[in-house]
Amino acid sequence: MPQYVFKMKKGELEIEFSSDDADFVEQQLEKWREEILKKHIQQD
Amino acid sequence: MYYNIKIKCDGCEFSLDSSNKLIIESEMDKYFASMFGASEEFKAQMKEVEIVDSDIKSIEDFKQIDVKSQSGNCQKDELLNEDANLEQIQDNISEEKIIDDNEDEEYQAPVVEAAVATPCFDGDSLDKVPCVDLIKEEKYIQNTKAIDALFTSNKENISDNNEKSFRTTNNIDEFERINLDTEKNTLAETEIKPDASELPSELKNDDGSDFYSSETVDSKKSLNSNSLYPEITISNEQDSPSNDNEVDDLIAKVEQEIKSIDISNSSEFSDDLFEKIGKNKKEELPVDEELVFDKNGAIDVSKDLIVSEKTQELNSADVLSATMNEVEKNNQNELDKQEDLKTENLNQAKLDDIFSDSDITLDEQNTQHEIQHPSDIEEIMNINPVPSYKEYLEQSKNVNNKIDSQNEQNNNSALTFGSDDNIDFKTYLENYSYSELIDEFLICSYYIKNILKQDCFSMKSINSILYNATGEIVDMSIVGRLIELGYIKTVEVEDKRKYTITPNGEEYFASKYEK
Repeated sequence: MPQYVFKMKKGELEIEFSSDDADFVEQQLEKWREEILKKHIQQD
Repeated sequence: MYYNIKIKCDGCEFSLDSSNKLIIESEMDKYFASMFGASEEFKAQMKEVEIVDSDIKSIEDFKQIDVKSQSGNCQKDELLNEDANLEQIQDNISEEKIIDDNEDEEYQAPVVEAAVATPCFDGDSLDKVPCVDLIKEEKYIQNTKAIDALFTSNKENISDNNEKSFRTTNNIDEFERINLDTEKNTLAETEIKPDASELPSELKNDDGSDFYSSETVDSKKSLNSNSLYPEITISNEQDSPSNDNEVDDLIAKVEQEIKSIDISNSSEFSDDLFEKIGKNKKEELPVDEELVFDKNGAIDVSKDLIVSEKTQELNSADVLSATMNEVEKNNQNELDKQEDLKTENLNQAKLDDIFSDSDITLDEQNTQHEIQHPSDIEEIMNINPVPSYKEYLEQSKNVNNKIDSQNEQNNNSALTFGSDDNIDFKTYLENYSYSELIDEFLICSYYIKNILKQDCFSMKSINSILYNATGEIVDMSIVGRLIELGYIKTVEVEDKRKYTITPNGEEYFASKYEK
């Protein structure tokens, strides 16, 4: 069973996300990516 | 499914394991928001949180875990409540400071400190614990007593073996003397006796024999009957088998045994004969080696019929070899020449079989005897005539051709997946012009559908065919390109994703690749 691990770090805060559900990982990362893009757009 | 998030903030770590997708998703969103949009106060709150238990399976477990701040009074519900406002958090932090300053009784020690305070007994710290010294001292006394008891019992065993009590006499000189006597006896028994012919006349008896009689050896034997050293006994002349009458009797018995040989039961014959021969000499020669002296004191080598007890099989073989020569001589005088020749051949074959250590079975022995006999060989030649050299070459060529053709058939069947109509993909590929790996993939997909008659294929199966033919494998990028072009489509077969070539792909294949 494969396990996917993603680690995000910003400043002192660090999030490590691991799962064996590839679809969930894909959806979650996509959702976060969209949120970041939205914030960038709002800031601009 | 398995989900885990681990939050780290300035050395503090929070981990949440869960099998619930929704729980983990909400938690992750919360901390993701804290990372990319939350205020600095939330991060400050995160710094002060340490969750010890990481085996959390649900949000309820997470709520019930023991949350302790480094200052000891942080409320976990505030952390879980998404609506927790910053003012409340700031108030809590200020209250904690007040509590710390006043050293309130509700103050709880940090978990980390409690863990450090737990005694750890490693090798160095063990000596520093006072009670351990007492235990060690008591064990030392017990061990000392046990060693003393063991030493005493060993000393008693040593003295028992020498039939003298070392402890009762308590005299080291007496103990050494006993040992020296024992060693002398042992050396006297194990030393090599000189040849009787080389002995000086002072060491010989009146009748010419030497002083190493069986009686003297027996007396030495009685001195140390428990010795493990081998005993060498030199028999007296009167007890030796040099008596001609005994030898004649022995030869006569062997003759009878040889005549009563039944080749169909050769194994029983050999054992039986050896036992009977051994019985004649066991009583007289009960020792390992026997030196036979004649009347002049020299070793009598004329008599080969000496059988030892331990090397019974080997020496009995010598006896048989010696006696069989005489038996053959007698048979030559009594029987005709033709019968003599047959019996000699048979006896020689039997002796070879008996004295050889090979594990030839009875049937093999019989066939060997049959072949060795000239008349039998002629019969075999008539039944199976030996082919000439040319005939032999022709036969071998035919056999080789058959083997080669069979191997070719096997190879072809393996390459074409067991179908006689199919051809190897490597040879199939030679009929088409292609330049890239993507072309090979499409040709192979066409080959699978139209030649191998398989509707769909997996990446594993097509890669195995491609690799055997070209030494290359394809990845998903090539498949993706072909799917985008519409030449390949995916098919779900038993919950597995497989691929097949589309009609467009077949048309493209026919137009582009065919030479």
